[in-house]
Amino acid sequence: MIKAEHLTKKYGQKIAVNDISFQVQTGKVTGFLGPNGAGKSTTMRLMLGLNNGGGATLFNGKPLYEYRRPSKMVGVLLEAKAFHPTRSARNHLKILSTEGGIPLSRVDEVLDIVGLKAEAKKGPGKFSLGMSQRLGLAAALLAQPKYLILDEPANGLDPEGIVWLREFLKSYADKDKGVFVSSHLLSEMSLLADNVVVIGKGRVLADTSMKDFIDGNVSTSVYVRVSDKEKLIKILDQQKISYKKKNSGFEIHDSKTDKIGKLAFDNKITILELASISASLEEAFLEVTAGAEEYTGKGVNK
Amino acid sequence: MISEIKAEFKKVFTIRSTYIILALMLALVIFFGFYVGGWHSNKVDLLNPFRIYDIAKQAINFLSIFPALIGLLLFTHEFRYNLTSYSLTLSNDRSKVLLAKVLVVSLVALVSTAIIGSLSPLLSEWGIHANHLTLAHQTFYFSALAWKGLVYGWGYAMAGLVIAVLIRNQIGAIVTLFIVPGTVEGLLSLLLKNNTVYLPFSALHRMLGAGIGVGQTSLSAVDAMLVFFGYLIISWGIAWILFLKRDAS
Repeated sequence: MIKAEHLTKKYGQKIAVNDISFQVQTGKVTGFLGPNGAGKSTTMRLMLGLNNGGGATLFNGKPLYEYRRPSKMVGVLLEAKAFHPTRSARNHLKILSTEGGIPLSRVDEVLDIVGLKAEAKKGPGKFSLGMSQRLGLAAALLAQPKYLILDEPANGLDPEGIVWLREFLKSYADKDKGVFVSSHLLSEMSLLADNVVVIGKGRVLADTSMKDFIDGNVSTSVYVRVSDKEKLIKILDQQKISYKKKNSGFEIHDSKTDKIGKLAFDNKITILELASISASLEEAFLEVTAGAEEYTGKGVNK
Repeated sequence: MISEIKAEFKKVFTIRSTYIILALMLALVIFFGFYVGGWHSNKVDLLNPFRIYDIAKQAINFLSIFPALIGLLLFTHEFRYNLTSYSLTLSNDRSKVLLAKVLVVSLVALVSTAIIGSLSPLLSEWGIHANHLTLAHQTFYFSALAWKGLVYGWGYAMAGLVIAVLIRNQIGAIVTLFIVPGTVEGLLSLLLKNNTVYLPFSALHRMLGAGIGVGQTSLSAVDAMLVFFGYLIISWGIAWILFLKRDAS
């Protein structure tokens, strides 16, 4: 388990990360969410000791610097374009292997895993963002580390690449390893992450499972279309259940399909259509981070 | 520690700029040694009994900036291309990373200086003979050239590296390396006059016996070396602390 405790970082008077604590468990993908400027990248850098600040991060009970080979404990992807533009992709990875005490045979293996074997001899200066991300991921995977810390790894990937990344990270976590990943692609994150840590203005706003995060922050609704609308309205009013008309039916708030189904059955109302309106991660995220955005655009009515 | 050193060697020798710098350095060794110091020698130069010795010193003085530049680029590339996040997470100690760079740059500087110091007098002799000129009997202080030349080349490279560690910005560090030894210390010499030798690069020139302000003081080569080492130790102390304490971004 990665245990981040009381991470704090100040830039002059501005507090970028304010006493953040959370955990990353093995066997699970933990999503790291927050608006722009919330402190996600700074938090990751603090965890790895790249930025100096308050607090500590323990990897299986010890700080990273206490491991003889930190590469075996954590693989990182913090910047997609972190490479020398004219040094070949293979040489780039060979250097990292040497530095981390990793067998050089792993270089071609990871290039194959991320689909860059054909580009191994090329300087990555002209790589697209997606290819750069793949090279960054290859670097993170070199030592088959216990944990992966990835900052926006899906940026720039094509749809096939995003699906591949999702399946790859899930299967990586399934091998009793931990994956800590930030992303702005909320729909993707909802499919990928088991747990979620949400920060805003340098503070933890939520640290829970993905399901609990969505269920706890967005009310569930039911859409129902019936034969006798007047009768249903009367019953809903009697039971003080809030609803609104939607298309030719009703959206009933804070309810589940089984409850509405039973209500209709008990009152002999024929149901023509019944469906739950599932809450999205985006809705939950916007709910939780409302007021915690560092930067907001104008000219669009939300 | 061995892993870090091996990795730094690979970093130096897997980028184009290293080979361009070394090629340029060798081309200038040939130009200054064979043509300027040999083929194109005038009659007064040919009568100088220290001609070849002086050529070797001048070549080291002019060309030591090249290994210094390799060291500077080795460090500043890490920050320019965000490679430092890898270096510092793959190693368990920032000091090891810095020490590995120092050792690798030291070796590159010593080998480069040895090449400059040995090739330039040989090429000079060859140039003189190729142009059918006659050179006066020569006195060559081999051991003096060896220690002074190697200390100069190594010292220059360490100065280049420490500038890189302190400034981190590649352009800023290169500009500083180019203007401090000549322009800045040259301007300061107008104020300091004979005391110019107590400036770092002027002390280094004095030790080698070539370059700015060499004839303006009676400071011995060893004392001049100690003056330079004083600056080097202080600046490396500051650089080391900053490397440990600063955010790696």
